[in-house]
Amino acid sequence: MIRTRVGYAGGKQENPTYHQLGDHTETFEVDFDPTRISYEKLLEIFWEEHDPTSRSWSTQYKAAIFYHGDEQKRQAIATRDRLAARLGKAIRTEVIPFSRFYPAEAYHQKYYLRGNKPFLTELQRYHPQDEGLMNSTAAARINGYLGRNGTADALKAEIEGYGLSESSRQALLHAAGVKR
Amino acid sequence: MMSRLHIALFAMLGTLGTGQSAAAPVTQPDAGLPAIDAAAPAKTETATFALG
Repeated sequence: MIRTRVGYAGGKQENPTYHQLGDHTETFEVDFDPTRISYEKLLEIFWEEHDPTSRSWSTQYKAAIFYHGDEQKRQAIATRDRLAARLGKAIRTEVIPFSRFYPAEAYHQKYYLRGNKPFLTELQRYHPQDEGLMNSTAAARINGYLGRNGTADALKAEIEGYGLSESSRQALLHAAGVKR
Repeated sequence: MMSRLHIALFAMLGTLGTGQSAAAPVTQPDAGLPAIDAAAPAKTETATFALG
């Protein structure tokens, strides 16, 4: 995964905000390297991580795939239909064309990282602007590991590239549950 | 606050696909950026989801 960001999509209102969302839905975007992970794998994770048969509470919180292009549309529909056949139930998660994504306010981006001030402060030395931090691979990785995701081996293999001080590297390994 | 599902899945996705990209050139890190940011491939695909 190269970049991750949360925001709003699917509606017609220009420049939505969290408190003036209009007809948009809370969404997240990932920029990924298809030589490292496939869109189909992302779809597999997406389907596993929610109940696609439940009715959405609202436009703000509905479940949806916003496909980019015909190939993503084909794969989204194919995986949806396979899941429906396996479950024997209607799938309520929507598959709809992507139109425009509006990044959410900075305080919504990288939730776990923002809750860990020492890491945030170190990354802000490289990315003093919110947009730079939002688009930082290091920020996405650290946010993920602080949320106790990923594997110890993967973290150890690339932590040197995150730009952290030695003390923060050790703190991140500890937070991620890696035993020295 | 964004939904808990978003926060959790979003964080998990951030750790996927670790390691050097096969498509990315091996570059010397930009002194002004973490090495992993400096080496990020310019060519990527985007996926957009909502989790409810």
